[in-house]
Amino acid sequence: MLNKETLRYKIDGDAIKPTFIGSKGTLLDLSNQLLVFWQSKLQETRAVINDEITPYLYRARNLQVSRGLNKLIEDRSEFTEPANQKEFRERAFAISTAALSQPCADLREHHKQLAQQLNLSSKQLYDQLYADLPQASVLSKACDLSGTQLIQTYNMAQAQGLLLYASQVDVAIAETDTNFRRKLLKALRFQRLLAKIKQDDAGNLLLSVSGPSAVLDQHQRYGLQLALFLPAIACAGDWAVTAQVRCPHKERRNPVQLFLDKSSGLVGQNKFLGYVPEEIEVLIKTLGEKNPDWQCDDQAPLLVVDKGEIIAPDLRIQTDDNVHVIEFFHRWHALPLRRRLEQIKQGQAKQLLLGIDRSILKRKEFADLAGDPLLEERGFLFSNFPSPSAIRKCIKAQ
Amino acid sequence: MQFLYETADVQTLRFDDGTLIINDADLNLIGEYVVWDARIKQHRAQAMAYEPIVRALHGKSEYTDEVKQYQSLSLKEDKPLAMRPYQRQSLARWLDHKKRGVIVLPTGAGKTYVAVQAILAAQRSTIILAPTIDLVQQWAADLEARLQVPIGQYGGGEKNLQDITVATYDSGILIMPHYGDRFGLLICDECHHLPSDMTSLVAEACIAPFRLGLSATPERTDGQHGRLEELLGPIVHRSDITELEGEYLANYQAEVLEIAMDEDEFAAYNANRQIYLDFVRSEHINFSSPDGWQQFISKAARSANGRAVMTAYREQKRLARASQAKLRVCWELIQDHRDERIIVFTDDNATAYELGRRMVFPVLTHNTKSAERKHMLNQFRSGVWPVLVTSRVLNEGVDVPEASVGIVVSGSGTVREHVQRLGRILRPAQGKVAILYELISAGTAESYTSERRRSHVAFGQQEQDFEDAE
Repeated sequence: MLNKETLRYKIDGDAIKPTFIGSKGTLLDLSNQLLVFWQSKLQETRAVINDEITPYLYRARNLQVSRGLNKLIEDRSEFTEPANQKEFRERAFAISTAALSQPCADLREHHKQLAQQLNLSSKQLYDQLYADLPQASVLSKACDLSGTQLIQTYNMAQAQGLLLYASQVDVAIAETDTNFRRKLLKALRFQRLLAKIKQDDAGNLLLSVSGPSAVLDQHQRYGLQLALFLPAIACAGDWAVTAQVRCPHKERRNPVQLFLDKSSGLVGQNKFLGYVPEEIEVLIKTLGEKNPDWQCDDQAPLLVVDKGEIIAPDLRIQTDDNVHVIEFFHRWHALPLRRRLEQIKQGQAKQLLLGIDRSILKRKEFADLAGDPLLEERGFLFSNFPSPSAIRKCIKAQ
Repeated sequence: MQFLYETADVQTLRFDDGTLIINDADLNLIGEYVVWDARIKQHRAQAMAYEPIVRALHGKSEYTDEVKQYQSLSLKEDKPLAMRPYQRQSLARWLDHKKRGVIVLPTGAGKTYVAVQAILAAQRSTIILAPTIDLVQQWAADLEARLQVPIGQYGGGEKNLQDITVATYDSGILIMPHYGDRFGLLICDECHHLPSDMTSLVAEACIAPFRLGLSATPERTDGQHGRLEELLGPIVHRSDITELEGEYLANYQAEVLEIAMDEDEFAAYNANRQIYLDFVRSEHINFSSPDGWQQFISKAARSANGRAVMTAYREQKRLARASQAKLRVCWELIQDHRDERIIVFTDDNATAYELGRRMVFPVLTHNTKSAERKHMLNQFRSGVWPVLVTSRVLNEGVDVPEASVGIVVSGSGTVREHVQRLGRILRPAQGKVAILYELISAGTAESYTSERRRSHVAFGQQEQDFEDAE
């Protein structure tokens, strides 16, 4: 993800527009040069890489662009963290503190004596004492994108970067393919986003997603998850995103509008559509292993309730006599939970079971939900993520 | 008296996302505080306008107040201390100003205790904002011990709202749109942070009628300190270090040591500086303009010898900051004061780690992980490790009362940083005389930087507008 310093955009009246770059000519050359540079620096330290990359960055016509490209490469490269030296430091400081009581005018001599006490040379002591700083980590795998892919990622990251400042995001999807819709809504669920899903009369899918600015708890994490949803949206045949965002550098006090659609040229990434988080995969696998007579998967059907609202449950579990669908309410989903309980009381989404993060019910304004008999009847609680045993217990009770 | 009506056409005040919504606003009385929001077809105001709006409406117009969610409290201090005269005076001045305003006291003069008395005087739900997690933890521990009530915390992974809550400014920005109606008293520690664009939102989005700002150095380089009056109230009391030195703060000396660089290093310094200056002159870069540094970066980036110029710039700076001669003098000073608690300050992490590696001392920077950082501070406070090297993380607020010697190996030209560094060693103790050494590489740009940062009454000079040097 790009940081504030590498975000490029223009503000025109009440509108904000990310500044994308072209995927040909000098910028493609620059992208390729940076990628080749990183590939050639395997086993080098972060300090060396940071130092040697500088001329490449400065050579670019726009330093902000070259830094942005470089940051995306760095984020997609892997480093081996150096071994923690905390215990070694403890020993070294104990010796150096004790040595202070015996004056030694020559600093080099003092250092040599300390090193001897630690059975090291002076150079070894010097090198090892703070060898676990981030700058000492070693490049173990370099980013494997092509130059064109890097530029596509860069443009997507410019749009994603603005979404981190959004309070409200409205998405319209004209794609009618049911399989695509299910995958998209699954991506929405798995990113744990707070959204109201509807279908309009023309058959367009309308998503009203809360932005990170509207979320109190863990808003940075939420913002990242919202940003990760954009590459999935861009896979649709036709799409549009309208977001209310705060200007990253506070150029305006009031929110401005970000508009993106298919014509923006953003390239979607299917991996975000098909993405199933590891914890869901593990949960499905464990449920299947512990209950061989059940069929568990993430293919729950979409449920249409009042006023065209669509519910995309997280799990489908088929037992001998029934099909159960379960919707998880994570810490951000307090408001949808209240709405869902109302809908169930009105006789909608009858087969839906509810998994609820305990932290929601601990909040003062939602404490009243804890006593709701529907929760006892149709729901179960979890901390951070549902356990197979809680799900099993809930299903057995139905 | 407040009028409560259920009918829709009565003027109603509501809190909404860090602002106030007023339906049927009486514009004759509150027109100056509200703007028309066409999206919701109602008037809107900043949450901080709550107090003047209610004051303007009170007894003159009917209204329903659905805003105020804060509580009246019955707090008591567990073991009251005798207030020092200047603390008593500053509190009295704050009370005289209707519990609004800024109190300027030097570091170590007991600002926290004044705040505790302000909380006791206001007896309202309170939020205290501080710039760092270390400070938030320090406030929470102190308040819990004095008031014997659970203290809420936001920041550094903590999310716990209580009648008395402490938060970082960053967390404050996040929670005020949700909880800005829950506090009657807003306390901003190190309140010189408040007037920056984004941070000021915390004060704007909070309805608290009572407000207290605390700082040793309220003035800002960008002149924005003028906004403190609008956000918190006027400066109601100011005591300088020199007024409190000896009786309430430790006696102190501030010594500047000009150190001649070794011959080879001085030659290298001059050669590199010349390359840098030649470039600055040839490109007509004006460092006194606000974007001087940006000009330098962008021109160096486009120039054929830009890389060499940047390297020369960094090298001359490194040599001046951490010459061999400076390191030797620093070592001598540490030896001279080896029975005392010493903090060594540097301007950058590289110099801090160089000193730490050469002298085998703990180094505390933003790279230090939280648990080790806590451990280092504890070891330093208890005297197990009597020397601590740091770059900028100890500049502000963190309480290390045992320290009596400060050695500034390098620093910026800002007065605030230098005054705050002095403040780290000024906590009073029986017979304590604190010493702040400032090491300057003779014949380098550091002389100018040093002169700038000592433009303060604490260093025997008249205060000037705070401006950054190079």
